[in-house]
Amino acid sequence: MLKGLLYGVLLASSLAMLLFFIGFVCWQLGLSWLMVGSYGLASNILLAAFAALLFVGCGLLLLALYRQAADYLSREHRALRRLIMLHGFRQQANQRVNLEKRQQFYRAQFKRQRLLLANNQKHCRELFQAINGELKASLEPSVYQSFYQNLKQLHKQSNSQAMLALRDQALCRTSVIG
Amino acid sequence: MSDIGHWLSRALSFWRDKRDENLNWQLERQQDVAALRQANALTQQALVAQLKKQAQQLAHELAINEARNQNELAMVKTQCKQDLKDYQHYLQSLDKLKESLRISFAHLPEAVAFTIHHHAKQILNRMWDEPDPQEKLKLEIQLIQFMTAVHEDSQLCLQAKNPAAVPEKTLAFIDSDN
Repeated sequence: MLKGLLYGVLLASSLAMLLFFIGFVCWQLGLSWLMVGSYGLASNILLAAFAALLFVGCGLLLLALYRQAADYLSREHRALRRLIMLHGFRQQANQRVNLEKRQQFYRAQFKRQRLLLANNQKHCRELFQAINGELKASLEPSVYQSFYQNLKQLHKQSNSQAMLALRDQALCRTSVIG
Repeated sequence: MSDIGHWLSRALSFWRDKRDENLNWQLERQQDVAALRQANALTQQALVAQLKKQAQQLAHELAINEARNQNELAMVKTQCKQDLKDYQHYLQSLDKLKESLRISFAHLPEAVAFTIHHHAKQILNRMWDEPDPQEKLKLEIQLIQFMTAVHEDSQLCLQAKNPAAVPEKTLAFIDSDN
């Protein structure tokens, strides 16, 4: 059917070309009425051939679309798509569970850090109060003020090691002076 | 004119012969074509059945996987909660240890108590962050030994007639550890 149509279009085009040639010969021979008729017929035939070609092209396009759609909706393709989708789900589920596990561990670690920080602060505060009491008792008020400022600064920074070093320094000073 | 007619009739007969030949060829192979079509349809059906079976298996596997993942996540959550609770208990125990040291050694400077507590907390954190179970166990034993040393010092101080001014065993432990 399609082959026949294409051959018909080719034949019509060839005929139109032949008619153009005949028209040209007639014009050379001075038969203008024949030339007009021949040219008119040839152009109409050529137009019809192109219209038929366009029609065939549209038909082929629609056919290809229909075939693609039918292929897409066929049972085996649907089954295959479902299988691929399930594979994707499985992969996603594995990834998700790993991520959720990591999130749980991260949260636990974060909470532990907070507990540790609160505990550190509590003991640092106790240390600050104790060292402050010791310095107050053992240093002169003028010296005590400067040590207190330093101590306060270190307490703000939660630097317990430096606070201990400051205490040692202050006690050394007291013992040397004493 | 008769030549053209003769030539046309020969062309027509050639075309008819070819058509007949084509038709005969198709008739000869009709059975084969039908068998092939049937085989193709059967193959497609088998493929669809296989794909559906695979999809069913995968869906089942996915459901089992989901349940297992949920259980695993719940276990991880419980484990993290328990870990956090254990850590909190450890911190409270260390706080109590420090408190008992203060009670036993009434004149113990806060700096020494803080250092002892800080050392215990360092061992605890090292133990908690250690990924190797063997090393973790070693650190746990070390922590227990340290806590035992502190406890023994406290007991000795309470029982002795002339108690020591500082928990010597504990400080020796810290020295040997450093």
